[in-house]
Amino acid sequence: MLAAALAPAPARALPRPEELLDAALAAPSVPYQGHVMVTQWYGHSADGRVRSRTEEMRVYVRPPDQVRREFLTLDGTVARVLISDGDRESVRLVKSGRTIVGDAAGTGDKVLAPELERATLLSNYDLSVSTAEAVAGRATWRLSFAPKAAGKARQTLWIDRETKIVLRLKRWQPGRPFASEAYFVSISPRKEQPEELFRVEDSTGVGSAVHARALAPRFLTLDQLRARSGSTFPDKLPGGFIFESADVFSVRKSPVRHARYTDGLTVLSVFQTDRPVRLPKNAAIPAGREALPGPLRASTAGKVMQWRVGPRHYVMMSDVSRDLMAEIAKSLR
Amino acid sequence: MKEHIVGEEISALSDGALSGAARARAEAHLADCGACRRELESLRHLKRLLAAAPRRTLPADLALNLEHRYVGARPWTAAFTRPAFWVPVGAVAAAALAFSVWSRSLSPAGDLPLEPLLAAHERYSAEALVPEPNLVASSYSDPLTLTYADAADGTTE
Amino acid sequence: MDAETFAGLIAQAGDKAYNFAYRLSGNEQDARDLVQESFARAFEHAGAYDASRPFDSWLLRILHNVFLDGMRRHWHSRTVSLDAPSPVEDTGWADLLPEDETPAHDELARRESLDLLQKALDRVPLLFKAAVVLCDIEGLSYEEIAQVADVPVGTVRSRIHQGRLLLRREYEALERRGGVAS
Repeated sequence: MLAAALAPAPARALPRPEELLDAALAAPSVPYQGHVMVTQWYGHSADGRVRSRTEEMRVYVRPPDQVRREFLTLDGTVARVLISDGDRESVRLVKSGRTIVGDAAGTGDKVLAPELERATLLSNYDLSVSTAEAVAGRATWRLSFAPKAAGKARQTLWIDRETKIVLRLKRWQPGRPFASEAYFVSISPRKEQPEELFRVEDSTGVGSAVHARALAPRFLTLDQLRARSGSTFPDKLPGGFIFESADVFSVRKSPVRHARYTDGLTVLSVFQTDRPVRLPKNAAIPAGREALPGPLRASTAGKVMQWRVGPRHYVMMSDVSRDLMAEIAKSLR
Repeated sequence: MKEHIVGEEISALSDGALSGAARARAEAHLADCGACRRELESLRHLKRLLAAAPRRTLPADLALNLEHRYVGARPWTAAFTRPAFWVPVGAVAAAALAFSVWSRSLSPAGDLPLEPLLAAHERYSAEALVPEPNLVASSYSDPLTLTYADAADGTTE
Repeated sequence: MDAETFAGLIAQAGDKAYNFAYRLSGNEQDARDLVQESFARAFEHAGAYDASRPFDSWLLRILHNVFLDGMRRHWHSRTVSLDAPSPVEDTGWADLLPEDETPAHDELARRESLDLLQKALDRVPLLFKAAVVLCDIEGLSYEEIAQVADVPVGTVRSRIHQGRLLLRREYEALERRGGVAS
């Protein structure tokens, strides 16, 4: 009895991983605004330094789905403004005055049902929860995703205990110079956010709006893709990837078929074109154990690989390992 | 009895900055003097320690900031370059931005640019079950600036 | 000089400047400010730059002056908020290195002994410290250091020696306290 009274209070119970995941994915419960830093590391430059790209942004959020993001140059001026009213989205490039309009991100008519995508995630990753250091001065839980298959990135989310907002994300591959991170430097929940902040900018006084296909993607099924373009793609790829949806658009009057795959967390794109695509001019990433069917380069999307099968050109984009990319490319012959 | 070498000279010796008569004198003294030899070795040890200090590199955001601000900006280019190599400010500033990965050099006619594909891939990432909305917003809006900055008004295809 | 070369020049000089600034000031925030200020000043005085001389040294000289100016105005170190994880520091380069490099154990030991080095450097008066850093970390010759510090070579020589003696004394004192082998 006395021993029990002297024993330390039990540690606060950790939430279950799936519960925490669902809470984090749900719409934000409170309006808020904050300051975010985003950094991506993508491969080595010629002199051996790790390439990286950093952006700073101000974020304003009005539940359930209105967001305003201002990307800052590092002397504090605004370079781009993204506004989503939950239905449509505008991207204004301040310097050129150009505005691009399309569908709001996260509102796509996906082919894959969310439950199925979630099940795919759980089958491809081991989730775990732990206590974590504060982010932006707020107490967090840490939710980690460990891939079951080799050649994939790990991901960790730091989730605010009170509001379940994701305050920090880190995604990396151990031993590889590919990683990305986004974190709130400061965040303040607000009682409300003014509506005016979230008015999509269709046409500004200066420039005028361009409706960009890239911002208004289609979500075609495999059958629809075949009917529209004659191209066939597999419904599964090595590494636990399943087909999610496809789109067809054109670049310089040449058709591009975009097949998207997911393993629940990692996204992989396969593009099929009739003309070759110009890859970035940085150093080619050398092949690993598997021979590569074509050149592999680093980009902010991870890695980009191009190869030919007869008259068709393929471009794959993802942040999986080069060996996994080579394996996947093989299955697309 | 020979005087010890002045401390400064031992330092200079370790830096290879002692020459001529002073150096000859110092080396001759060292041959006979254990104390000075120990001092020299101690200084060399310190130098090695300092030389092995890992070099701090410019933080990525600061490097980007500097590149963005100063590459291509007059009058610096004037001080550095001959007229034949001077590149117009706008183009250089754009090239120096984060997408300096993308080359603007001539490529075989008919090759498709990568940016629209990159924009499509990154934009699609925003539809994922577990997106990081701030990260992907940064990622997909980035190639858009190159893809659409010069696009004609209206719908693009 | 094309844009890419010029950008490379800035990157290289920037790295050198940042390293120097960090060793002088002992913390990242001040180092950042020093580098920013130095580039701004270099840019302002671009007309005075003689392109036949190395750009690095010119920039370091500007940085040395900026630092001295700052010290004269009683520049204080800022404390960095521990709540905001810095991407580079926190990620750990061990996570970002290619497979064939093995940091881990050696890196940790090295990092620890070098914290000690910076702590010791922090206790050395700045003019001596600058001379030692330029000689032993940046590898400049006495003549080059004389250009950077704008003093005669003889002064450089005595500052370097004094600096080393002071540094050694501080470092050994810290070692005795902390018990970390170098």
